[in-house]
Amino acid sequence: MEYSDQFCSLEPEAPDACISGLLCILRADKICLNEGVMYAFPERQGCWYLFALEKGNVQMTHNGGHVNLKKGNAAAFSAGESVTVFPSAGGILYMLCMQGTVADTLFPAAAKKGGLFFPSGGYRVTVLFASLLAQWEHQRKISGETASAAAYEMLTGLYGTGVPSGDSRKQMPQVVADAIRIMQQDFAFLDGIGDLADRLDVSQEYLTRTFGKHVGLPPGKYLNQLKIEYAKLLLRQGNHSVSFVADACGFANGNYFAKVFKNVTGLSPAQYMKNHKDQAAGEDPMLDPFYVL
Amino acid sequence: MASISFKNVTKIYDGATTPVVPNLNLEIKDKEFVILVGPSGCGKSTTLRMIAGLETITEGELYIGDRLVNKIPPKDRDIAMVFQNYALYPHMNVYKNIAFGLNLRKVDKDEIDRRVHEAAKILDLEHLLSRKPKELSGGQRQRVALGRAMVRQPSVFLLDEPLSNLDAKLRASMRTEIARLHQKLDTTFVYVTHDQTEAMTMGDRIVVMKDGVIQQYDTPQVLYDTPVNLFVAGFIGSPQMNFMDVEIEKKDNQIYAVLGQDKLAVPKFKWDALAPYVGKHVTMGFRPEDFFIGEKAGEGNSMSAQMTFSELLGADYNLYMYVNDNRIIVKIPATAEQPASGPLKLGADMDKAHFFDKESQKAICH
Repeated sequence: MEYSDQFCSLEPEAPDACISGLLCILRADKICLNEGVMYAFPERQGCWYLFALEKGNVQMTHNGGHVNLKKGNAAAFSAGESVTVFPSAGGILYMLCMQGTVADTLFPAAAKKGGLFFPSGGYRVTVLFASLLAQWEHQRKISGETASAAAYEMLTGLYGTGVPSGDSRKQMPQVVADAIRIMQQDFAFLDGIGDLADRLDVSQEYLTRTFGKHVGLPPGKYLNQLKIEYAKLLLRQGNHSVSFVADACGFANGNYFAKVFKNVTGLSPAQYMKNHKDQAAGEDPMLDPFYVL
Repeated sequence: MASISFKNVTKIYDGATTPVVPNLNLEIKDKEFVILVGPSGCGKSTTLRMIAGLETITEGELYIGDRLVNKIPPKDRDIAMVFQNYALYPHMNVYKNIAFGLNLRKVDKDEIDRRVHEAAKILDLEHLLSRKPKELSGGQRQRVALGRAMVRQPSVFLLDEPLSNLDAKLRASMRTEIARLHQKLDTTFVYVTHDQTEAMTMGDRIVVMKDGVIQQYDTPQVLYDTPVNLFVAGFIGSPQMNFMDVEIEKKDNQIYAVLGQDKLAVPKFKWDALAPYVGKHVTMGFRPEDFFIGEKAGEGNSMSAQMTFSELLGADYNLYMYVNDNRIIVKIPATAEQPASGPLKLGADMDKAHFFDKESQKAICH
């Protein structure tokens, strides 16, 4: 378990092999959201993200579209694409990362691309999280089989109450979707927002205005958030120096990196590395593009 | 050893119902320069990214050398990749960019210095080592990206449309540079492009892909001379092969391809293959250079054409004509007499005629 004022993360044990293929919870997080901070949930092939909002109002970006989540709502997305969350005010978000054929079946393939929206499904997720937390507090571990059983009950409760989030989904202008795609692919190699605007063949002013209107924060801030998320992943791996991480994430100097990092996470890169060392073990190293450079 | 072997590999993206690459089988030999070519969305980049480990494999097995790499992360695959957009760090100078992968792997500083200078010398970048990427031309940036891959001394180079962002002149010179680099480094290169000219001029062998399926995998010459189907015939070659609908007829112990009022005598060595098609329609194809104009165009080897306009390309003319409502391009040497606009008899080298089944689109004979 990982715990702070802002964050609580639970990782149930792996269930028996015959259950894990059906349904298992890889991770359950409760996150206190800060206004103006972007939260990124990385691509995890073959998995599902289920989000629920207990408090606040967020915009979730997934696969070129975005969905607004309000208090009490839940939404499921294929984790084959990363998901980003922008709170418009402080709030509390729950995230479950699951995999298995049961989840694949209950969240039909047709809804995978756009996700599923559950207008009143949030409480089922919060109840599940509370039961996992209670089990951890009682036994200092969470049995994989119990977690899978609770997840099954929750999913069957949600079943049939979801609507394809396409119904509540707003398509972004192409230039914003392209900007997000380029930033997600090339955040470390972009020479600022001017370079991004050049690649998109639009003026920087137009890009900044349109992006801000549809995403809720300026593109420069979005870019920095992506860099910080990647920096966090590298720091969690524990085998890179802070100056190397700054370089690899596209920060021109280490001091500026440390300043931005502290602004976003509340910790210095060195503190973060110390607190989270070797926690990247479960994160998928297959998709670590800078190792092919 | 860095051969690459796809065995029944399928890739289905999350959320997709159909595979982008279904059941791929492909053998790339050690030290070979193989080009993956095809139109947008044909699965060529996905195939390359599976080799890199940047895409997971849904089913099947991928080997690099003797090693099954399905679950091996990119950093342990001994590959280096060059991207279309160069992927250079804007805040680092050329030296640091080239050295990046070596620093990541904590290679000794003297060794890094030696390798960076060696690569810079080969790529003519020595005078640019202290410059930042934004101070370089597109071609220079691409050479830096190649240098970064070179110093890693990988057993496989993967290149994903590396010349797409360059202008035509620079593309031509970089084609030569990359082919020369392959000869010098003597290692396996896998190169993705949608440009058939790059494919024809650079690769030992070319994999032509469509809808995730390999259409043909062979040397450039074999693809050009004996395409297995209409897609390959139309994709490889510039200007592309000319196609026309003909009826196969047998009369007086001779097989003809009938095109409107014209009958073209099919040479004897193609008769066996065309025999089942007598009385049926097939697609006949000619490369632009397999036509001729003048006295040799006579009975049995010519068709009625309508000349519209011509383009002088220096050494050759491209003549734009219509034959039976089919728009065709004929290539003749610039030294030959250029025909006037209007009707003319267009000769065709029937030995070079290609025939394709209209339904299956597969080649019948060449």
